[in-house]
Amino acid sequence: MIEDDLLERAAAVVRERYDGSTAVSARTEALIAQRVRPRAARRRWLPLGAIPLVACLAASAAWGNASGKLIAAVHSLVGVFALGGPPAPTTAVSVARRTPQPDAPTRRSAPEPAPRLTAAPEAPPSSPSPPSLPPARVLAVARPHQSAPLAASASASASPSPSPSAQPDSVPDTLFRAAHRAQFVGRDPARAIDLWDRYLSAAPNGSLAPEARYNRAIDLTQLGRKAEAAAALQPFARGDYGTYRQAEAQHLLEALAR
Amino acid sequence: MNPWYDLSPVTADFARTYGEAPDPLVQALAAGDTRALTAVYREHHVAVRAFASRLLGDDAAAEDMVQEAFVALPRAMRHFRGETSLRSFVISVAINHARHFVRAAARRRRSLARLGCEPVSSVEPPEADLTRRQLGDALFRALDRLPLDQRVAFVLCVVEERPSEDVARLVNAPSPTVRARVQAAKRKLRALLERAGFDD
Repeated sequence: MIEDDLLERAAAVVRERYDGSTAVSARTEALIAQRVRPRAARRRWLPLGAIPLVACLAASAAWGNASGKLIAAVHSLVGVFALGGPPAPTTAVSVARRTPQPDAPTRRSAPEPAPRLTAAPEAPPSSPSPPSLPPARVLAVARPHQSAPLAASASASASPSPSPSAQPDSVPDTLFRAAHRAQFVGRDPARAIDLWDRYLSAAPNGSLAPEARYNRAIDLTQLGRKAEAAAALQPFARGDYGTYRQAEAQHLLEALAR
Repeated sequence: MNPWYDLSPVTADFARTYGEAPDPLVQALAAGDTRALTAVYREHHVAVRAFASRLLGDDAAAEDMVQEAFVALPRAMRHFRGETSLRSFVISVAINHARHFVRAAARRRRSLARLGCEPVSSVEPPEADLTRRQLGDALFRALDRLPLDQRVAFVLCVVEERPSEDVARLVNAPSPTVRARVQAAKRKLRALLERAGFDD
């Protein structure tokens, strides 16, 4: 259908971009086995663990029956729950608790958020601490107005004026934005490195920390600090961050080695 | 014998362990046998990862989703009746776990967009490639605004080009419902892409 041409093209782009191949499939396989093995072992030992419990229960029931205490306990339980007595008063609260609320948002049986077990990447030498969470791949965000204001100086960009409609940024957000501007708008790698370091100190495990580390490595390259740049690029090239920036880091490392 | 089940050496191996059961690999999986899980992972991870990436548009989130689907597989096997292929069944398990990962991927895209920071490639791609990449990125931003069921239906039917009957089995919904979801998704996506400046 002609009218679906745009969607077909977009779908084809996505289809070709992601073919399921990855460099980290072996690592994922190992992590899956690691997560499943303890569960299987637990299941295997569960019946054995239940044997002493059942034995204890049976022994105490036999003792209670022989001493007559079991019958007394059953009677007291019946009294507590008023099984034979008048019905317990029904309060509005109890009715409300039992009646499903049609307007209340129903919780789906969605799974718990998956613990991210992907191996934590090693931090570049100058990073304050390695991120404990794996990075997510950053997708390019197509923004037609991206080529906008080039006049903003790096110092001015360090404290951007928030737009009235936007939510106030947190300190790491402000630092990230400032560092990004210093690097890509102000073209000042030295200042950008300083701001990336401050961002990484403020949010070493932030979701954008891998992006910050990569950009910092680029700045180091631009300043000619080859050894530091290579050290910072190594984790990306090794695949510590999955496929995120892996090919580019490998390409840059090759270029640095020449 | 079911076609999915014809993993000759692997199945034969599990048949020795799990006796005369009609589906030893399924038995082994349901019992949490990590060797069986590894065999199934090696056989099907590419297809599951391709689906996860196409659904999420985020490699790291897709990797986590693949991991979660395979970890959940042994428990899910009790629902496996052999009516679909094992690969389809793993994908349906992944779909059941998709909600959290879709949210995470969308949140990350929003966070980057809010900061006005797009990752800049150190190697500038040719203009045609750039346009295609932007179209793909725009599609994911638009997909982020769809309900999950429409998003899943669109990815399975349009991106992965699966017949709606197969998708109906994967998402456990009637075929007409799947087709309606795809149509609704197409309408919205087309409007969103046009609003983003893309046109035929």
